[in-house]
Amino acid sequence: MGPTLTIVVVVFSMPEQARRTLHTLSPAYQRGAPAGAYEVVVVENESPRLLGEAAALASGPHVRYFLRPERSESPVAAANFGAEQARGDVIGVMVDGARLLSPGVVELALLTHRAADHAVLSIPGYHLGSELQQRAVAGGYDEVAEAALLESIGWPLDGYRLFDVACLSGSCAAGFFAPFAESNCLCVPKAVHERLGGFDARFVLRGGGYSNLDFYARVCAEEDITLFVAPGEGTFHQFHGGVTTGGGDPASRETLMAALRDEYRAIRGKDFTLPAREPLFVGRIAPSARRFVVHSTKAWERQ
Amino acid sequence: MTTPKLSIVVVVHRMARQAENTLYSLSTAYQRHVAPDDYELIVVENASSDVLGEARATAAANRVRYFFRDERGVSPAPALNFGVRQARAPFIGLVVDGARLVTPRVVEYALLASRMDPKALVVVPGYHLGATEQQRDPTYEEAKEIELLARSGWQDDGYALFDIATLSSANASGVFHPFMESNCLFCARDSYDRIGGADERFDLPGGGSVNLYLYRRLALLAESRLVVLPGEGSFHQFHGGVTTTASPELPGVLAEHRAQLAALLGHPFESPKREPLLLGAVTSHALPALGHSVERGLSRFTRFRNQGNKAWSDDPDPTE
Repeated sequence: MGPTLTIVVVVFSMPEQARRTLHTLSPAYQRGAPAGAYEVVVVENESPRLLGEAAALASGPHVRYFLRPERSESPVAAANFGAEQARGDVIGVMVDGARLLSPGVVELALLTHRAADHAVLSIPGYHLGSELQQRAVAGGYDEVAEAALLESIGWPLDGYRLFDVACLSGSCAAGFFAPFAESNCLCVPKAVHERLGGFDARFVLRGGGYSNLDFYARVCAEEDITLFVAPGEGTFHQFHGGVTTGGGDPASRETLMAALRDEYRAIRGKDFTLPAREPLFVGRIAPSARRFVVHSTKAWERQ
Repeated sequence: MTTPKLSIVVVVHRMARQAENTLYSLSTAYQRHVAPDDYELIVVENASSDVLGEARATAAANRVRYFFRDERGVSPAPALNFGVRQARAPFIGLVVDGARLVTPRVVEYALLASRMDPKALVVVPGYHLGATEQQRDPTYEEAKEIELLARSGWQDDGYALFDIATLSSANASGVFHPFMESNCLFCARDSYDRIGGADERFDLPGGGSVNLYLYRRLALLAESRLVVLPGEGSFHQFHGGVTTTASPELPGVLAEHRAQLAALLGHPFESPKREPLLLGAVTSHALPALGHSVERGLSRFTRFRNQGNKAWSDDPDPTE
């Protein structure tokens, strides 16, 4: 019997970060996930800084690796290519391979898939560090600082301690009781993924622009899905000089963000709006994650 | 008629009006995202001076099967076991005190959890209607509660019940603490049978602590996956119950309950410490209770960490 879940990880010029991400997807790190129940499809777009097949496969036999020559600056084609390779009934897309996971993501993807016919599982996003990395970089945050941060929590011994050294991503900043703008690990039934045609290939700007937000909003708009959010799990962005998270000159960043918004508007004919769909919460909430529940209830009270 | 996926047993004794409300709260008119074919309600009524009766029971909800029993004892345990024997579904709901109103997505989530894991043990947190637990307020009485309920508009939005209620002492610290019991509990029929059902040796009025014993035994089965619904609740309506009515005799009654429980357990009672998986939406009405749970939970976990102890020590492989 094949795997139930396929996690697609798109990698581009981030070998060290991707190696750690793949470790968080290994059976040794994920808890309550039976061997053989899931596979990981790594799709790497060519760059001078390759992860490479050997390093990808080193995390276990559940990994398949594909290297693609990609001319565009967008991960969209790679994400869709990965989804086409999926053997599972559920596809979890991680469009940015620099995201570490907490240890219960795979188990919850499998459990929610059993619970409802069209279960969608959305994992909240965090940045490593005490503030968003695009801001922290001005204060000297870099890969070295991040390595020290990971060492300080003894990572990867207890993956839930990532919450101790992280802050909510901008896309989830208002907490669990407000709509997210996106998820960097969104598990969607293959049938729904196919029905939607995956990511929209018209998003060609750097980093895929709003493609991930657009896909999230389109998934949430499907009437027959049941949207689950796991408040006790997270994806944790590692610094890798990414398009929107790598910092740099604020004026250039704002110009880029405006271009990304314009691309969305040109494709959808409207400004992006948050998908206001009520989620069902699911999962355990480890002590380290609970301060974000406190944050979420306070954010809700302020509304 | 198709076989239901879930059979919910509701035990009723001298609480006709309250039970009518409870059954309405379990009907498809009130429960959301469920169909009549999904579940059945098994109402087991013990004879009393205030009988609900079949006509009112079947009018209050759809797919009700009503059983009247001439129970000579004073415990609901035999009625609960009788009800479970009538169940057609492999997954069962247990409402040992029929005076408990529930919120509108309890049935939906019980069904989701049973699909997620057939051995799910689904626990609905308990509340008392009113500003404090009913046994702590000698002035609280039925007429007040009728008015409270009428003003809340609960039939139209069941989540309004949170606005007129307080957490029950069985789960006073919220969802990150072990529960002593649940008055709306769902489990596999197999699991119920494996522990021998509700122990009928609990023969004190109201069953004494039979529900605590039942919950503990179910929760300690290694196969059980504890699922708690933080956004739902069961709400106790005043009905002159043994442990939920203020009276000078109450401390003595509770002492007797504790003694019987300890004798049958072989040791003093402790809440089962299994880590819950949370499930379900949390409406604005339930958020204050969740906030309270997090606050209390954080201090509990800090205490356990500082002591070097595991907080969920009854888990087969506790991670914290």
